[in-house]
Amino acid sequence: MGRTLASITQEFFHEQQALARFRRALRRSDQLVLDDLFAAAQQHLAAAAYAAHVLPFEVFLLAMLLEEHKEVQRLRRLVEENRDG
Amino acid sequence: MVEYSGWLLDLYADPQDGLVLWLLGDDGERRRLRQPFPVTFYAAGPFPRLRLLWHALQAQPVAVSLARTEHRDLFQDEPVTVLAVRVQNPAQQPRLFAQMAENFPDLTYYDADIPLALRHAALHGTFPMGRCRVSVDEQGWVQEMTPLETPWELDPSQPPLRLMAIKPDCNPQHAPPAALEIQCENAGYRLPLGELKEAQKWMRPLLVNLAAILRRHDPDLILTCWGDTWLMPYLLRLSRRVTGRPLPLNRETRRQAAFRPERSYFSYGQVIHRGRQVHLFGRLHIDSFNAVLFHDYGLEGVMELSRVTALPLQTTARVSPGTGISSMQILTALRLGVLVPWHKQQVERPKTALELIHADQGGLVYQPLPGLHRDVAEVDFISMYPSIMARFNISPETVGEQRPGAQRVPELDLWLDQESPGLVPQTLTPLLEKRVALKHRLAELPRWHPHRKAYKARASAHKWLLVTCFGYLGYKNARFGRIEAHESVTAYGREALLRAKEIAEELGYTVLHMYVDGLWVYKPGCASVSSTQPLLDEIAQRTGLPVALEGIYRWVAFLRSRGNQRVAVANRYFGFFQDGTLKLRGIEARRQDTPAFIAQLQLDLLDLLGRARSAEELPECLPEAVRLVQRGLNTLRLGRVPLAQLLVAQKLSRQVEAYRVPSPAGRAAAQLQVVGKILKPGQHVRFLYTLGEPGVYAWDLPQPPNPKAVDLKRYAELLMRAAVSVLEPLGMGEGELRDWVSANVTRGGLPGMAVVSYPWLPRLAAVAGS
Amino acid sequence: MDTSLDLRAGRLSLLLAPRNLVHSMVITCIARLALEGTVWVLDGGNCFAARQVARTLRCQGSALEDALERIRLARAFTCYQMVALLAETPPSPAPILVLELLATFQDENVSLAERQRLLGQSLAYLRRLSSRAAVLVTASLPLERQIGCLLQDLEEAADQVWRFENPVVATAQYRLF
Repeated sequence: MGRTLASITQEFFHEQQALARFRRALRRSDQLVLDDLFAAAQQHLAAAAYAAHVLPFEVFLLAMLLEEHKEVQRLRRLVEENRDG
Repeated sequence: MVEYSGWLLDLYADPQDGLVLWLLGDDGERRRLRQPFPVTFYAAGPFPRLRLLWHALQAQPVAVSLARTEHRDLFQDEPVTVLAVRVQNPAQQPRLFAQMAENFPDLTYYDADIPLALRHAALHGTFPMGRCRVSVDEQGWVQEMTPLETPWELDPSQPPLRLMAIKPDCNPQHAPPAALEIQCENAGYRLPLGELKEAQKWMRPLLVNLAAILRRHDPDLILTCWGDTWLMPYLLRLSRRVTGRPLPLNRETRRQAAFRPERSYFSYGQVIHRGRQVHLFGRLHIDSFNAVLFHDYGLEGVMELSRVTALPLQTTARVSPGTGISSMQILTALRLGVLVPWHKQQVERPKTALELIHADQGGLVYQPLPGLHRDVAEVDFISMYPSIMARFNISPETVGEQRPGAQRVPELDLWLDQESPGLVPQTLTPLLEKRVALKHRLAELPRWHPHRKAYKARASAHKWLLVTCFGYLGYKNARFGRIEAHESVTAYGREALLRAKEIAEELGYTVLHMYVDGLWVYKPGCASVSSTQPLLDEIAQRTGLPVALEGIYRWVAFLRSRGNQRVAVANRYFGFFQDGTLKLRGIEARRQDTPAFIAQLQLDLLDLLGRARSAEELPECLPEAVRLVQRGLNTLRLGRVPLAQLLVAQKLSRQVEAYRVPSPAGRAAAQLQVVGKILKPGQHVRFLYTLGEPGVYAWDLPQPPNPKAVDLKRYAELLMRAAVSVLEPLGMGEGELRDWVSANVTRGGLPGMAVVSYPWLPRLAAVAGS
Repeated sequence: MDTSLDLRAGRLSLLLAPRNLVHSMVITCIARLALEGTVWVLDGGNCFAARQVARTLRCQGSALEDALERIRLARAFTCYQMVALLAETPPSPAPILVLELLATFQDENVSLAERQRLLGQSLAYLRRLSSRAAVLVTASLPLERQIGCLLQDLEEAADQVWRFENPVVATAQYRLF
């Protein structure tokens, strides 16, 4: 039967592995932040699969940015509420 | 000429009579009838080769008539010129074909290995378990056959089968049985079995009694436990040894029971094991432990499969749904006059690497928003993939290049012919229609209605056929399969699911989760069934596919991934619908390898949570839940759990010798091997976790296990893990549960309040082991 | 290690090596060929890793999608399909890679004699194709013992055989200080 290509999850872990040397050279605290970035991107694997990008890493980066921005928006709202309240 | 009407029980080839039919007459008589039934197969290829084949066929002894004709090959536009070989006696066709194929392997063969029952059904429209009328001449030859019903009746006629149940008094794999228990009509019998060394005392009386019971009751169907794998072979061997004659299990006295060997094979990355089979003639035999999905749909389901696939009952009980759907396709092909290829040779149309990246996807599988959610509606497409095939006319021969009247498949550079109905949609449509009609009927029936069980069994049989037909479309050995058709189906599926999401969001819903053919949505203030109707209507209208509301959950929990707390796992969740029913996927209670004691505890916990009428009431259940877990751990620790409830059942994935580092199942299988109990890949091994090496003890060893050797700590861990699966979404994680369990919670404090922890109390591991 | 394969039109080449080595050499090869023109990939092992080829191409800094469009792929899942695939591939000067030719021949449901016959047909088609183009056939080792005879037939039919093995890793542990 079909399914010749690796699954999006496998591609994701492959990309994470490809950055193993970069990660190793980081300070421990920074390593944890990098891990968190990847963990955030993992929430959008279905959309990455559907996107059917030739190089999925670009989409993973965008997913990380998306989660970051969500957090920024959330914090911005909190700050404004605090200021007003 | 005499006419009989009744039910077609069975049909098979016979060396002397060609085709034999058994009819269960309206008058109660079981009649063996014979029918002249020549069968034809075809060969295509270069003319010089066909000429040689012609000569070879004329020269050999089997009676054949030869002709040159043209027929339709599904994958070619023009009809194919073929040599038609009509064999007078159908019983001789398989061997004749095998000989020709060996001598002329380069030719293309059609209609060569089709089960006789399918050929018969294609010609007459009759089917096993169906009512029909036959006209028989003075010599007992059937001249005419007419079906009196179709396979698509919602309330099919029920043949008045005489059932006999035979089983040993225990599992022969576990211990030697001491007796056979037989039940038929209102009579019950018990025939003692003895040891081999005392054979003379009990073998002959047993066989004489058994033969007498069979003669007296004359059952149509013998339902056994372990009949294929142990009982029948044992009895047949015994009778040959003692009396020199075979036991009259068959009604057909001239034939012996037919054996099929056991086998293990790969399917979708899993190893499947099929036990040896014993088929009878004139009578039907089903082994409830060797019948596929028997626990799911039972005898009624098997009978329904015979009706819609036209395969005899003994076959449908033992084959996978894939064979069922393949038979239905072959039947459609025969009826349409389309040649059925012997080998699948359809080649993939070349695509670019870029096209592959787009096409090689499955269904959309999301990561749900983890945690607890309330008032969630689950909307499912009914039989999504088969519905897509039927609605958009997806079939191996309809997928191709752009042409007038063709519709483009979303995302892909593939076009679907919409002019002529494809073979696969033609096969599926009546089945889909029956499935939908049955679903509606079930929805209307009250819970207590006596027909519910039968309807559900039939619905389940349909479901399995439909679920498999998609896989079959892409299956490498499927005669009517084509990878482009497969890819088209998943492309439509993704498109339909995304449209459904867009519609839900347009209507103000939040989409919590999506999985191939279903979505979970939430909208504040929309917690009633009627409020979801606009959503359902819009989705059905804009996708062209049938949808249904699975239900509205009072609350549902999507479990987090163990590796990444941010993400939930797509297929692990549980929740209670508004009507109180529980739905769970992927957690321990649903897994085959969970011990019964732990599965039950998890179900008890869920039951406890189910009493909460809303999500707000859930935290009140926590203290009782913790007590339940504590009680479970205590029972375990005190050795009060019966060992049978601690059994782990795992599948053997390969031969015992093939393990480099044996899994627990592998180690247990090795233990059984030493005492001569060989297990094949795909079979299940049952064992207990024990202390020390090797860490397992196989259940079916002759020596019973030592209760003191059981690794209670390990079971306690499994129990804790099962409990955490259920309680974690409610806010009680693994750490908290351990603390609460080891502390004293009789005061009923809630987590979130000042948690009193007792660091001086021994940790759980020590508690379980002491 | 320079593992670039020298493919030439008019020659049927065979690559035999452990799986991971075959995999990486094939990806590099396909990427290189796709930069220059059309390349056919006939996949018998369901193993064509399109995205890895894409990653390799990106390292060359080229127009990725154009190169990917030049890769023509067709898959075969049974030995009968493999024969039909080779029969239907049009002869042309574009190089052809046949991945894991023997994978579809590891089917116990087909008799060995029949498989041998089918392989013979496949080899005839391969020779026809290699008269105009460069053809590379790959087979990952180790293969199942029972199809050793098929491998032999394949080796004999090839004009050139490249055989690689995994380099032996030194077992001595190096201490840092």
